[in-house]
Amino acid sequence: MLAKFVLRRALAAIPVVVGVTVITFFLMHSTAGSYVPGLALNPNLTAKDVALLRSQLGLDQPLWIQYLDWTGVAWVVQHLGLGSLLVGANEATPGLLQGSFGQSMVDGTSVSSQLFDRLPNTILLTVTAILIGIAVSIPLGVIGAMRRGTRVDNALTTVSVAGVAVPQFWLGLICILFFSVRLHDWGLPFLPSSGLQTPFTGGALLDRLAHLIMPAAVLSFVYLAIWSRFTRSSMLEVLSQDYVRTARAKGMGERRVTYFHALRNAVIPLVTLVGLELPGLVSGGLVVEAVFGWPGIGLLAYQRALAYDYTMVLGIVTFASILVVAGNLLADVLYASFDPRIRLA
Amino acid sequence: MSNNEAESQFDRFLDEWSRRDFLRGMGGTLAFAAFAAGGMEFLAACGGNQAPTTNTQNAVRGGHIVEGQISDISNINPIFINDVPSSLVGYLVYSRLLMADGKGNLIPDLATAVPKVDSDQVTYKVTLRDAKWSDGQPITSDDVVFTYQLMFDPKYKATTSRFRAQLEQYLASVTNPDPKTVIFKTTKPYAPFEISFMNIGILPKHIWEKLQPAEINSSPMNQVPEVGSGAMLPVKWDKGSQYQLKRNDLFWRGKPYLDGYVVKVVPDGVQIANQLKTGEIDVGNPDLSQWDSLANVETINRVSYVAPSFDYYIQNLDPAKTPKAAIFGDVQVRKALLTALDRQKVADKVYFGLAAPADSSVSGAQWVHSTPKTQYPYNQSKAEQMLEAAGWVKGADGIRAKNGVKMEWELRTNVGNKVRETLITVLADQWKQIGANVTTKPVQFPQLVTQLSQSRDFEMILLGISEGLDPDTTQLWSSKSIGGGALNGAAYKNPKVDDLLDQAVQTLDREKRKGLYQQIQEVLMEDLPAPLVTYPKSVWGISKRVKNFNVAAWTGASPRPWFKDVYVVDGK
Repeated sequence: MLAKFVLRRALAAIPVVVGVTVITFFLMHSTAGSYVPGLALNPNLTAKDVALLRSQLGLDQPLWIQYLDWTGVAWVVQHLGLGSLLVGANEATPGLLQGSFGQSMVDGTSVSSQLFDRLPNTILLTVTAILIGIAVSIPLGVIGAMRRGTRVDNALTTVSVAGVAVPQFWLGLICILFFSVRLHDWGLPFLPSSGLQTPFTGGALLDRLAHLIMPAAVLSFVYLAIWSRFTRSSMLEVLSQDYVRTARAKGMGERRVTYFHALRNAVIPLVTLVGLELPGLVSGGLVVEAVFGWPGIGLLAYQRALAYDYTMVLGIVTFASILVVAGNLLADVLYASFDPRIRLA
Repeated sequence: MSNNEAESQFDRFLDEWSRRDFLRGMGGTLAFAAFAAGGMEFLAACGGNQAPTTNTQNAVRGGHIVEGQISDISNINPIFINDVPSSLVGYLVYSRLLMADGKGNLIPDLATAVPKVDSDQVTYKVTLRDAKWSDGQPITSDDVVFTYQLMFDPKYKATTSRFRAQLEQYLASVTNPDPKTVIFKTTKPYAPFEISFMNIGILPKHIWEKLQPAEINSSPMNQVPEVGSGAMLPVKWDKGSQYQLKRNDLFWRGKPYLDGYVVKVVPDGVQIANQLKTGEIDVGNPDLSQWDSLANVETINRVSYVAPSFDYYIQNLDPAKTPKAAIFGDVQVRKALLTALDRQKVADKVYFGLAAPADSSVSGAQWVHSTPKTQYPYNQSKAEQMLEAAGWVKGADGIRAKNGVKMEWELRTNVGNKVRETLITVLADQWKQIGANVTTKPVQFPQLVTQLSQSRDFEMILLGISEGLDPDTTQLWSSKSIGGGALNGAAYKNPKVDDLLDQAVQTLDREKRKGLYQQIQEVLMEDLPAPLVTYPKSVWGISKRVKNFNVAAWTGASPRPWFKDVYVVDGK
């Protein structure tokens, strides 16, 4: 039953991934014109140079052939001995079907090596941010609900609204200015303003944490704002439930009522909300990555899109869409196993 | 409107622009977007006029330096290099036959001397000095010949070197009669040959010959080679984050003072300034807006000089491509437009004073630079008179027109370069003062390049050019360079210029060649197909603990012949 469901969903995902890559591929090509990826205005480059580079990168081929080459279909056709049908005299390269994301058009590096080198960085950043978000937002939400209408509650509301309203890049720059530059000016210990670790001397756990804390905190600010509001309203709703009143009527201590009976029930919908952030694990931190020079996937995708690195962007988009599809599938399966009322069909 | 009024209005306008000062205090939101366009220009090398001196009397051994760059390396293999950080690291790792000093003069590197061309005008004999690869193997003429074969021999056609098309055109053969001698023969007398093609890093044959031609394109050794011949050797590349190097004890110039060097990726020029302040980086190019704030930092020295580059606007002269050619086709209009620009004020305000008004068609860092007789100093009323005389008369709406063609056009530049985005707005405003209705539009860099070099469907484009070491500008001004990827987007055609350009690349005598380029500069200043606005400066922040970091004209982001003597006073 489950296996059949998973298989059917996996098959249904194929057209999604293909569709995403086709759209990305043709959109990029439709806007770039004859630009050679990564190549700048160079008075020493002649028209001949440019033409040669284009042909070496296969950019002079019709678009549909370039696309088939990237997917690996052209490679299959050529290995069936029908090569001249598709790519003429050119050598087809192994593509997606052969498990290869290909090489970057800008620097020749393997797309998958770039991808998998940066994936851990992005996951480290987003997971830390989500954990900070959960750890801080739930207590804040509970406090807000318990002290509803007080000055504390109003202050928390203000912070939450600010959290949603303040752009991340601005917050990031302000944090850098204060926690790096100003603290340094005052002769105090300061936080490093960019990167993963200190060159040469760094790399120890503490050094890495010092580099992580600022971007993660900035990224968590939005989560924190939304989730604490959510916890607060959810708590308020649960606190007015009959079973809470019953618990109090039984003479149970207020603390026990709040944390055992109310909170447990209040955070169930929050789990869904946090779950919704999972696809964002890959792309979620783009702005923060850019501000803090955090070498993650979002930043890579953005920079390579600007340089028209077709293969790199396609690789990242394909990878991300597979992740999203897999994430949704996983969520469905988990729901069904948690809640017997939901049936997989 | 009187001239004075207009002028003061323009003043206010510029003042508003420079009110970006508040951003200096808060870290520069503006510059946040600048990282997007960073690193795209080819080798934004640096220029200067006085050579800094090297002093190693009290030099300390050991320690390391962190240099900030706003983009990561992409490919440091000399036959592929196409951006600043890669060029920087590529030079540290590989030696070459010849290189340039701070003034752009050729000096020997692996060659014992700058070769003199034979009497046949096409043969260059290079003698190699004693030098070793970092694995102890000698560097021989085999390595040199192999490196050029990669870029030139049909056998290696699948290797995508950007030098191939030109080498196929200009290089007839490269041979090595003995291990210390290499003989280059060009297809015809070609003056840029030494500067353009002997200034390429040499690869170790014994390492690279094991690879198939196509494998070379995607070898991991393009980023982290195992064997080098420069002052530093690769340790590791943390993608998107940092490139770490260590001292090469076998470096033929002698053991470098530094133990290590890191090129660190920093998000933008504002952050570079911040990290210079906190000491997270030792050297880097801060954003122009941060220049003043660095003056008060005790630990930092500031260095600036005119770089071999210029910002210019290209007017589309081709009536087949745009009806606006009716405006720009008239040389009197082109002269009037340039006369209407207060370029000194532009340099002071838009570039925060870190640029010089342009006076020719090449930058002052070029050895062929001269100041043509004809100049167009700012004079708004004169510009208006010139337009009147040319028949462009103001209509009821204040916009000039002639024969039913209104004087209005769209001025484009690339998105993300804040200086240029400001500059097009300022230029548009200055031209509005004389009755031209100019709109502005930032465009993505690749589209802009396509519009300039292929489709040519634009009206006016503002761009920057980083000049190469050789003064040949065929790509910019020859009628052969219209479309097809070449950069004469204006479609400027002048047989005299074509002829002078052709002569100049075939004239091997330096003084004669300089004379030809001076003539070209004179003609271009009369014709103004694409007038230069400014010569931007290169700016550096250098920690005071770093000594002998003598960035100058042509040795800033390009090969640094002084690198071996760089040291840090604290030895850390």
